Amino acid sequence: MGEEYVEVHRQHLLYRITHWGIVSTGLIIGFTGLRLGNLFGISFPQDYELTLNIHIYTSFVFAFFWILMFAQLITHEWKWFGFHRLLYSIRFLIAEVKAWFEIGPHVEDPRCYDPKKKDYGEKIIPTEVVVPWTYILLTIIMGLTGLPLYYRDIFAPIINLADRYAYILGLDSGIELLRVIHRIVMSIYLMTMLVHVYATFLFGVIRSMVTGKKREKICK
Amino acid sequence: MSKLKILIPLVIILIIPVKGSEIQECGICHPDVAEKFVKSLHHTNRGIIEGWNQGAGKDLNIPVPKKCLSCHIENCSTCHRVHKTFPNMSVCIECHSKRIGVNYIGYTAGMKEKMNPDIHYKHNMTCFDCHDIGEIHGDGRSYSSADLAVKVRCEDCHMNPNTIVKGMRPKQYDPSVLAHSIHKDRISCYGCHAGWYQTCVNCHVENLKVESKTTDEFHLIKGPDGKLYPACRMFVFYGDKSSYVWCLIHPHTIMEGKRCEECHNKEEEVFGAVGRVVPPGSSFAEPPSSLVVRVPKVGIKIDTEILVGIIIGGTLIGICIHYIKRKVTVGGE
Repeated sequence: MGEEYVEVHRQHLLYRITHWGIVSTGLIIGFTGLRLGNLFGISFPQDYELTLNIHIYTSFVFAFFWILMFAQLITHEWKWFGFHRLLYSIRFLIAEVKAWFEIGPHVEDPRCYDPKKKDYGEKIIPTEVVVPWTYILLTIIMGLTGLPLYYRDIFAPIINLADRYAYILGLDSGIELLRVIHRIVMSIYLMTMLVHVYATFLFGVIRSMVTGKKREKICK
Repeated sequence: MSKLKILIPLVIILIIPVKGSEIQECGICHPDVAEKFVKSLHHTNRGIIEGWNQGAGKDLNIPVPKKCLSCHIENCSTCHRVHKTFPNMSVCIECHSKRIGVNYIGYTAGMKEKMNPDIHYKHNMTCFDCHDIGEIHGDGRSYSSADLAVKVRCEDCHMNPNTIVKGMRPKQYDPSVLAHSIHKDRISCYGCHAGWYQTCVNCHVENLKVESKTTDEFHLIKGPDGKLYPACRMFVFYGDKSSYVWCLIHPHTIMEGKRCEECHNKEEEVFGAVGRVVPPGSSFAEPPSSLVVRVPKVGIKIDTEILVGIIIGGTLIGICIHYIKRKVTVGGE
């Protein structure tokens, strides 16, 4: 017997706006960041100071969107994304990995919607629980390592702290250590983002982040 | 006739020592100045000698060319041509005609090409407005380079609101300027505010001729104080030997700060990495994009750009493998 589906309003407008706000500003920050670091031969925009200003000020908008997202996660999505589900999420991830390597049984998609209760039985792939928290953690690290590079007086204590440990990595100063951390965390951010984008296509959720609606499997 | 025979040699004998010891003669009335001057760089030439010995001389294994040593002030009258008169700036430029002196007033070596003069010159400042008598006559110590002998610093005026020079209040350092806030303590004032300077292309020691000169180059090296300074680079040839030297300089062509992209877009050009660097304590600086992490104890040395490439490249490869295998553990719709 085949699965039954129902169209559900999955994401409300503010959530979608916030999500795409993060995506668009994140792409701008990412690209300008690569240019500022002269990474991979990127030299556009030509004007370095303009690029730096775009990078900095866009990052404030980016942070604003993340605060908004964080507020919505706590107020509307805590049931699905709360810390209480972290262990469950990690266990699910391990099961997925085992299944992928064929050393464990196939894992069913647990997502389903209960029309009677007008609520989800499970709204997300459990692995997703770690995603926003990973992003938030990485965003905080990016902020703590990026802002001192620009506002050196205000964030002098962070620079002084970094100065004390820069020698461990053979670096001359705390500024260099902060840049190294900023750069590596950026690449982890990008890695997370690439996997995230791939997963959205894989699990068919991209449409719901545009229209807000998704055809969901009805819970049995 | 016999009296003349005695008188002429006597006059010669009397004249020669007087001429040869002019400093001592001046020192009769100016003992302090004379004592210090004989140890000053203007007199000792130590700057040229040490610079050569630490730079090209080390590779070529020859002493300083004699012609280089001609840049030297033997006697007080070289500058003080009329007693009780203070030399003017043109006296300095007569000797400093290859670089600093002429560059300051907006010309290349030998006054051949008109360039943009130093902003201080535009404000009618002369050499003596910055370089006091202690720097010119020496302070009694024998320095090995001008970097050590010259004490005046930009900060003396530009970080001192009480300073008045020729009735002018110098523009004060503004820490809120973007470049200042970012490069604070990392780049010397010269690193950004030096306008242009001459670079000699290929110097041949045999005849001390250079093939050409250019004012288009700009390079940075790390000075002994850890800050970035402009550097002049040059290939020096002697017979079948050659030396590639980068020398820290203080161009006297101070202007508005450079634009960011003048360094950040030309990293390979601005930051050299091959050759000999002078003075001692100077070194090549890593370009801003090159953040190399080293953990000597475990033998790790990696450029973070490569690390970033590995992380992102690895992720993309992983996604491709996953996609190709189509072994999705949790099915979609």
